[in-house]
Amino acid sequence: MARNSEWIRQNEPTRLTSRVNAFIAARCSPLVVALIMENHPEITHHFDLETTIPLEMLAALRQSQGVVSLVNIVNANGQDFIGCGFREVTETIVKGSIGDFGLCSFGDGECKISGSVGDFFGHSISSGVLVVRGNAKHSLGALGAGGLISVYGDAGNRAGVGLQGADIVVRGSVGSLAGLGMQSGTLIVGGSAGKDLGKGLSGGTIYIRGEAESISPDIEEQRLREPDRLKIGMLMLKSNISLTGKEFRVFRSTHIET
Amino acid sequence: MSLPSNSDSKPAKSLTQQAIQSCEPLVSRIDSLGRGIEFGTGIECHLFAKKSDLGSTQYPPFFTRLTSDAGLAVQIKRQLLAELSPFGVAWVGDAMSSGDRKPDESAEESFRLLPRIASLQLDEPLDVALFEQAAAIELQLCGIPFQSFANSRRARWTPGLPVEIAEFEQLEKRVGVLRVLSGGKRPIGALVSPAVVYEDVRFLIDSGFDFLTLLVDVQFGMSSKSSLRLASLEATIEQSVKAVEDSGANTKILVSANLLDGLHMFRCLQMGVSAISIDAFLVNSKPKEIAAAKETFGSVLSAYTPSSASAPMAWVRSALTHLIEELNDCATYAGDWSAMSDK
Repeated sequence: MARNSEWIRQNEPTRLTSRVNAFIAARCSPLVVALIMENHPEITHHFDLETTIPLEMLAALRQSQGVVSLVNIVNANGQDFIGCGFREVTETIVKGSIGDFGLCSFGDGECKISGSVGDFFGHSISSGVLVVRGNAKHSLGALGAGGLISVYGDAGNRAGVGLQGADIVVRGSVGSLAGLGMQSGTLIVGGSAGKDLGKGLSGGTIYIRGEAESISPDIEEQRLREPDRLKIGMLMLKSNISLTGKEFRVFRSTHIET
Repeated sequence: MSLPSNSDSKPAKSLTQQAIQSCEPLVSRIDSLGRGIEFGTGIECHLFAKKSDLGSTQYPPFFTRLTSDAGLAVQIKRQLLAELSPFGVAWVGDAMSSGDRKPDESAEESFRLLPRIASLQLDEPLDVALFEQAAAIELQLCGIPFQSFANSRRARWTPGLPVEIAEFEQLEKRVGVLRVLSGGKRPIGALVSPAVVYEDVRFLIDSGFDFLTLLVDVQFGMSSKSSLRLASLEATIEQSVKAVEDSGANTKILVSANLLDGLHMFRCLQMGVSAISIDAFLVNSKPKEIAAAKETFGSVLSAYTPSSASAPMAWVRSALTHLIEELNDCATYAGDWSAMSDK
């Protein structure tokens, strides 16, 4: 049942929206339905990036009068700045890979990218969920203040750089300097990590399942406690990744005064 | 050519008739700022859209950081803005700074009076809401950013790493993302303290910035007496302007320096600077009884009470009026500037 609903959400989002509308129509009187639809009109945008530039996408969203329920982006072709400034868009679906600074300053919504992403993906994310089915390049989720970024593949260097409260889940491995300058938030690495894991980290937590090439003296390994397992499990559940928390190791700052 | 001193100025009667006839008003002399030049991508950020109270259409190319950096209380800030607004002085800073996170309606109205340049640290998250109300965006590329959320004594004294931009090739894309987030309508600038001036400025121009603010003097406690000059003002301006000319770009140069009178400011403008900071001038123009209280600009607040709200800031208006008159005179005499220097 869960898989079925997920399939519908991925493949037939417009039909899902219409099903919700149908549900409202069946349960409510025509007057209530009319009021709901008048006050909360659902807006759907479809952008073909062969004919549209990212700046025009943002301008179109800002001009929308009402709740933008769905944004479909096709032919991304690795262009930079796709989805920059997207906020309060219920669902965004990007077909293909995107370039640098994708979904920068994202907030309040959910976005799924079918391909890979470039540098600085999810920069300054404040809330919401970003799901990448491919790989991510360098500086994933830089300066993220909230929300969740989930990468099903690997991530490059400096994953979670300057993180300020966001959560990042990488199912594969990450490059060197992961968690560089982290201040708070969570970085979960399902695979291994490169050199200098957690360099300059002053807060937050790094969970890693595999081995790190080298670990910075700024962090130290701590015992995996029950809250850690719960947190990993919850973030994995949100990311649709089937890993449990018990195989992970925990690293936190060595400078925390207790 | 060195910067002119006050003794260089001559009365109008010493000018030849031809020189007087060739004089143009300030507005058409200083670059083309007053004619509504296309600044960056089109929005005037440090410009001034209002007529001054002097009855002319001069548009002084001023900006200030005082409202942002001096830690002024909300009431004083509002009053300072009201004093600055007739002169169209733009200010650098965040509307949410200085503790006024929820400004009341009248304060909000004051914020709209002047074009505001939103400043952004290199390691600061990009906040779209910050850009929406700003006339321009300035990326601060100088100074060491300190960690704002230090949870240990050691960390509080450890400079934060400028971690976010690891390679300077990424700077161009950073400018690009700021442009997209701001809707492509606001100019993007950088605050830099010059080191290898020509190379630095050229590099920043190539990165796509619309304007560069050169921090030539650093003032401690906002006092012009205890300022630190980072580089020669003339050499910095000269090389920066040359870098702009060589690149063929339309980048504007703004200068933040310890400029205390209209003559020096005019000389900077004549050398090709587009706008100048009047922070040092304002601090220096404080009446002695206020200046003697404490060293910082924030000392203006010490005698402040809501009932005498208009008293402490009255000098701002008179000082600015005087400065604009001085600048206007300089522009009037500039037609025969070289002849005046020879004499």
